[in-house]
Amino acid sequence: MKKPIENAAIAMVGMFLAWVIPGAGHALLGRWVRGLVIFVTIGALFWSGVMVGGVLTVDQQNARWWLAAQLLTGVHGLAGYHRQREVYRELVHEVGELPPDPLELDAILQEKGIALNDNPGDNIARTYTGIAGMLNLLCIMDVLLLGLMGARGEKRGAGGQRGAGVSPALDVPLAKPSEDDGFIPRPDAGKMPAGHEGETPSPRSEGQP
Amino acid sequence: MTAMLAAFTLFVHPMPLPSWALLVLLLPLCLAVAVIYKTVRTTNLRRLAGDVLLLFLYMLAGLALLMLVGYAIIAYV
Repeated sequence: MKKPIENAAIAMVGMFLAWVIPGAGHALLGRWVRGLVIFVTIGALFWSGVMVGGVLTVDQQNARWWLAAQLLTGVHGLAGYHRQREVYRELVHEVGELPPDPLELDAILQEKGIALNDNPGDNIARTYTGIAGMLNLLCIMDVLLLGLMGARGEKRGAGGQRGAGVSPALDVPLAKPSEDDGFIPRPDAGKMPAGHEGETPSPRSEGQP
Repeated sequence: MTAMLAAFTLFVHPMPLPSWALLVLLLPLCLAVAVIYKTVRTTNLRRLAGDVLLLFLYMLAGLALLMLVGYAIIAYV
């Protein structure tokens, strides 16, 4: 097992990567398949929400709590944040100053056709993007725990990357291996070497080379 | 409606959706939640697809049950 300080450092770097690019934290820990699935799913969920709700799905003026959740998607949330800032910057350029009354602001946005409030897709768009952020938080926490435990790569028989770099902590042989676990017994397991047929194998020599 | 669609730009303007679409759009959301949860939790990636499908169906069943309970409360209470 790696040293605790090294594990903590990898966990912290993994957390940061997992926030910036969803799935990158798992990739750092050698869990490439999981990282890819997370990257695709969270990206698709976030941009589906923006597709339904438009540029103001991420909205720092009218939906600050949603914005907090949306920013948990890292690069996706930051891109959405940047896009809505551009909209408000253009608006300030056009009208001079943003009206302090949210209703007035909403009326201007309605005129431009980009207001999301009072649109039927409002809930869906913000829920998609917000949930994407919360799901990425789940992944970030998973990376933290795996990093602290010293887990690297997939557990043997987990169907992903096999063997190399697997943490001894997670690489415990299964008590009752089965085909379902992906454990394939050696063909000569349990057989005695030539000249010793018929003897009872001792527990230490059983299955050893 | 035609004028609205003519001015519509994907990822900029909110999509004009019929009200029934809101319910249908819960399905991809549930699927995404199931995929991420099972990707994080599963010990065997070979079983990922089956686990995701099972969780997705559980979620749909739970939502359907909630819908029935909500309907019963509204209709009879």
